[in-house]
Amino acid sequence: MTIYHWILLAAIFFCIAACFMWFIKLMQRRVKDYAEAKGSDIDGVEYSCTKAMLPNHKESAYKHLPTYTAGIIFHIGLFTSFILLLLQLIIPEFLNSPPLGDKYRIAIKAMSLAREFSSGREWQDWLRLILGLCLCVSSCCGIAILAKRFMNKTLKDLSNLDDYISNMLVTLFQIASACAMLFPLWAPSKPMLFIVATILFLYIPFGKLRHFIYFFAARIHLGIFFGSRGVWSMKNKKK
Amino acid sequence: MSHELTDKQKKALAFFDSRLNSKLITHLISCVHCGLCGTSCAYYITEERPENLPAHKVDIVARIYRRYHTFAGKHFPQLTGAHDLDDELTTEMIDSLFGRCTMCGRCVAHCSIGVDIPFVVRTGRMMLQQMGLVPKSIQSTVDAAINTGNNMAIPKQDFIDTINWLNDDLQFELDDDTVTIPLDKHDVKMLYTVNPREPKFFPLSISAMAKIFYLAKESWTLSTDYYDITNYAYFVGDEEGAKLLTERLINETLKFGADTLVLGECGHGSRAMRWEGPNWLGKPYPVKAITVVELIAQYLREGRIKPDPAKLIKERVTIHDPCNLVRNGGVIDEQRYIISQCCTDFVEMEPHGIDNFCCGGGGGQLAMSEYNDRRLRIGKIKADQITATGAKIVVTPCHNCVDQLSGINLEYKLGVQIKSIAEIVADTL
Ligand code: SF4
Ligand code: SF4
Repeated sequence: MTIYHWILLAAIFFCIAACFMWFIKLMQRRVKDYAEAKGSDIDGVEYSCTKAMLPNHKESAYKHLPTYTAGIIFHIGLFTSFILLLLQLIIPEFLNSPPLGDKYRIAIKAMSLAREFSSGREWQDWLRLILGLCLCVSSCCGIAILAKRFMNKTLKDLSNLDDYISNMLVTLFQIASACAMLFPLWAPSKPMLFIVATILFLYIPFGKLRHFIYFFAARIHLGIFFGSRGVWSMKNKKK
Repeated sequence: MSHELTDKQKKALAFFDSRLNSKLITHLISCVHCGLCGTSCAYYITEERPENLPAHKVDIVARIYRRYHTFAGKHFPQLTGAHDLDDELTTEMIDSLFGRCTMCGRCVAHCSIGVDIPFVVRTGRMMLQQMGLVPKSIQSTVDAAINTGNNMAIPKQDFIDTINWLNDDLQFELDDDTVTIPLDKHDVKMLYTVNPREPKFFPLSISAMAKIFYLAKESWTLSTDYYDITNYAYFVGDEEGAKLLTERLINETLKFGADTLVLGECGHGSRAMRWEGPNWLGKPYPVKAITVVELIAQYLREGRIKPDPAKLIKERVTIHDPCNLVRNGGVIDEQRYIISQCCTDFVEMEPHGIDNFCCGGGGGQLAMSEYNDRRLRIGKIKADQITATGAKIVVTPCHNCVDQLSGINLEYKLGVQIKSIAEIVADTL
């Protein structure tokens, strides 16, 4: 374990503790609804967390498909990066087979993939290459979303510093994660990933990135609201 | 540097603190500023201005939350856009929260996250109410309801005279001298409530409902003191006033020995009484509260009233779904069932049901003359929807919507008839 590992672990602990406090605050301040229900709140929550989130049910998705798709890829990239980071923390030798980027440039490697595959290259190399390239794509999505925030007047007006910082941090995290996948023998790749991850974890409790907890709380509140009023239910034909 | 708060601002912030429950905190924090809600809001669709964006309306209130309730907002306000509650912000709050939102809730289901935008807007309105900054026009409507018992300040005798005149008319129409529109009758099953616009401007909708009650052999009454179903105190964020108006109707129901309060054709009034009222009182109602739309659908299903096949409406009919009754109140299929029984050519608007567009008159907009231009401008969306159906009659179970639709009808020269549910049903009996 290097010093980077320890600092990162401390940051993760801080983030979890802060988020746990937010969660407790939410649980303590629950409200009772005295109105006689017309439908089922449980059914509503189920609907809210499943069907209601389908892209064909939300204008924010089907009327904005490019942004929506970029957002989804960006989030998948983030979760993938988190998982890879955890795996690298728990199993330091994770995916540590003979590296892909040590002798040749990636472009040349990509051209000779088929030949290498047939010659019995380690599966870890392939996995790392694929993950690394996917993370490059998700990072590009993050950059595109950031560019839109800078360029769209309405969005720019709505945004604050936190919106830009949050996007940049998450994008950097994915870029660092991609580098760690593609160039594992490049000495700075792991420290760089750990440093960016540390900053990210320390920042999460203070800005909009907290929405990873509040998103679920919002879906639950919404499900209770529309479910008890008989508006949302799993049985609903269209909506 | 934090600015010096006035006493009113301190009061508003103390009130805000007291409202910070799990739901409010969640909706104040969750917005990710993606901006994708704009295309779901009639204001933004009509005019792509940043202040028309639903997220902007949430952010005004969220900025206050961040300033006074988060570490980053307290110490580095620029980082999260946290803002003091000051005159500049309250001016923006009045314009955006009262003047740019009908609280229709259409943006909620379409939000990427699920932020309850009108819930936050109403919280902001409550803070303005604490500071005495509610627009005077709508405040006078609330004051009239609290001081006179109905929001149009109709004198009791005028109401009685109107009902008596309607009574004579109904006896003539039904050719039955025994039929009455009961006033202050005790030991009945139901107390019926109306929107004061009915006795004032659309009295025939009261006799239409009286005809339905008569044919369904219902035991019911109107109260001459408290018959007003509207609750504009709900829209201005006056919880005490809203509670008082709720209590009056519940007490009135009990006074006449009724076990059911029938909520007349008023979207926001029905929502306030059916869904919010028990929470203002802090307990479940001792009586049943049912919307008149559900009641009429029940009469039809039970065969207590039967449309005359010869009188069915042949002209093309469409429904306008009142946001408070449908999306926020769960009365979705009942009006469709009623229309299917009374009309032969029914066409849905697109979108409709819980996805409908607000007519533009919700959220108290009809009572705020200062925003008349905006109200009629966003009504263009509804006008286009109506035109696309080719309907000759627009039916809506809400007298506020009837008013706004009538305005749109004139403004955009639609040439349609606007009717309430009771009217369309009574025409076929
Ligand atoms: S509640 Fe209706 S009017 Fe208000 S922001 Fe949402 S869509 Fe627009
Ligand atoms: S869609 Fe929802 S999360 Fe996105 S900006 Fe609008 S309110 Fe905020």
